[in-house]
Amino acid sequence: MPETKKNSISKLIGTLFGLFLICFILVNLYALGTFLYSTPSVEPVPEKGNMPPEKFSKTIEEPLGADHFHILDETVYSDVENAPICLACHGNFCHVKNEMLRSFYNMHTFFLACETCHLRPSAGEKLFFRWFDDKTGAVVEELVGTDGNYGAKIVPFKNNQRLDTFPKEALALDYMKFKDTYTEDEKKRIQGELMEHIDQEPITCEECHCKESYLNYADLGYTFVRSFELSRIEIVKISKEYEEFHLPTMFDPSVVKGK
Amino acid sequence: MKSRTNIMGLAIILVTLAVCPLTAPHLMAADVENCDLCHKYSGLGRIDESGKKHLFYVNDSLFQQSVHGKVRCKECHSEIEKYPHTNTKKVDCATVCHLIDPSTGENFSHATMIEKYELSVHGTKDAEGNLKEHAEDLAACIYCHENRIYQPVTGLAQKDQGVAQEILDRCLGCHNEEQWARTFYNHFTHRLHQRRTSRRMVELCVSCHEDTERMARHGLTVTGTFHDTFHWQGIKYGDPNAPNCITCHAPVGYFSHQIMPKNDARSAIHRDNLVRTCANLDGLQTCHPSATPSFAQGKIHPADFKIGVFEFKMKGLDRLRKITRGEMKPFQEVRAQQPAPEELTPLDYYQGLILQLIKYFYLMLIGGLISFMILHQVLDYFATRREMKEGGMH
Repeated sequence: MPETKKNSISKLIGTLFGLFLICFILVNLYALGTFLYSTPSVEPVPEKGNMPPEKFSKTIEEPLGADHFHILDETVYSDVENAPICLACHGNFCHVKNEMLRSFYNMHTFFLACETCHLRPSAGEKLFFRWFDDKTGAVVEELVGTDGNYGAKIVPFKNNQRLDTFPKEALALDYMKFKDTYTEDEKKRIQGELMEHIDQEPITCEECHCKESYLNYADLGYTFVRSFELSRIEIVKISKEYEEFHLPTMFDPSVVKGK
Repeated sequence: MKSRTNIMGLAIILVTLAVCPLTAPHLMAADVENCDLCHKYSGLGRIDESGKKHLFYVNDSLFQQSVHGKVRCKECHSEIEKYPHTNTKKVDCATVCHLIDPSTGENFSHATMIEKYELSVHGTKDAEGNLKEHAEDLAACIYCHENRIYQPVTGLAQKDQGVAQEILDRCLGCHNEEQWARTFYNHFTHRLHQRRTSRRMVELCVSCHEDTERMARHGLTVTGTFHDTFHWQGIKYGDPNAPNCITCHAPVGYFSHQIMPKNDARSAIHRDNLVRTCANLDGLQTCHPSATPSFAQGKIHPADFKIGVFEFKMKGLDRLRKITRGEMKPFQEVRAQQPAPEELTPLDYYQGLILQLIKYFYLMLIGGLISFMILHQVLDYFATRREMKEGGMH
């Protein structure tokens, strides 16, 4: 290689290296300046107003002497992904009236679409039910998880159409945004309009948890044993037949010992 | 035929009773009442009238592995006798349960602990036994404690998690019941761990002690400025020996449930006890073995002017939020955010001035030093290149 060409290559490499070094120094100086002189890089604490309201989510704050003595796992932190518009307004813990069953109703919101209970087929109409993945919306053939934590919900469908789509979503979103500005009469009217497609008489506990169940558990993928269990849930019978059910003490060791 | 059926039925009942957990209380599963039937669902919960969310979920398999895993639900939730569980009272941790305390042979209870706690600065009652003012602000048991899963260790040196079978075998040499021995092993070695990291400990304490309104109700100033101290820096950067709140407020010889006010002679931070607390000579690690009275008088929770500095920082964060949201331009009203000099005593003012000067001096020194170093390196690089060129070294 001729000497002059070799020199020019060396010069080019030297210049490039010099430029690189200058850039490196400038970046370092910027980083140093930022580190030393800018506002501390503390993440601003989210303001309460921007936090998701308590009722909308199962999410709880991390236990920090958090008054959640029994929270031993992460399940409680999981939330319904792609929550439907109903839950966005009412929250997962939306059932409050029925003292006997409200917690049980709420528990179902994590694995049943609202329409599964709140949409009653008219006479002669036949609805079908399948599990749909919360995240992807795909049909779930095999459940993964336990005790209601499947990341999927039982959704009614007909003519290959899911029936958990909210017909007046835009109105619902609008209502949530501006409800404080409405009069009571306006609120009532809009609420009525939003709930038009919802049946006044939802499917009851005993309609599902019975031998001739409204839901076909076997078709939904439940095992024979679990289907059998679901068709005779004790709590349903208790809620039906008792105002107050006194827990039996015959297996309570302290009582037995005392006797 | 009928009598045969009856005999079979009787036999089944007898066999069932024979193997029934009631005959061996230490083997008893925690959930003999089958609470898990409902409480296994993580969504079991409701919002009460005040808008507070209540979750009633208990993971039974994890509960069995927890420190309360051998306690039946009803031993703590003794009020629950019917469904729905209306009008239930909060669990009283002083309740006597079926567990036998091996040290006394008597039924176990946290009552002794609670009695001590009640006499401490955090207790809800005063010396005469009357309820303190704003007692609702004071932390009850479950504010600090949750039901932990056992974390046994395999050895004392490394404290690796798990059960060392050879050690458990030593226990089983004398104690025939394996489940009992295992539980005892778990319990004992679990307590070798520090319950929570120093960072979590500080977070727990400041969750109350940084609450300005709550502290004001009790005539206290917030301890937020602990985050400005060298001790916190140690915790922040993961120094396992860095002291947390308990290290100083309940060192060896004191008890975390009996923290006393600092003007009480029984307090670890009473001025007469401070040297010993700072030295911590009896602890697993000594902290300041050569501590002197004047050293111990230093303020760990900087007060006065430093509180102003802390508040100023918080205002800075607030400004940052406003700037991010476009509600304020950078540097707008910055001067108006400065602490008013007339609010400060002359001593605080000059103390603050000196602190600021020191801060700026070091900022300039560090920035200048590193900048000059880099400049020097750059010039040196070019000088070397020039020399190489002139010297004909290519």
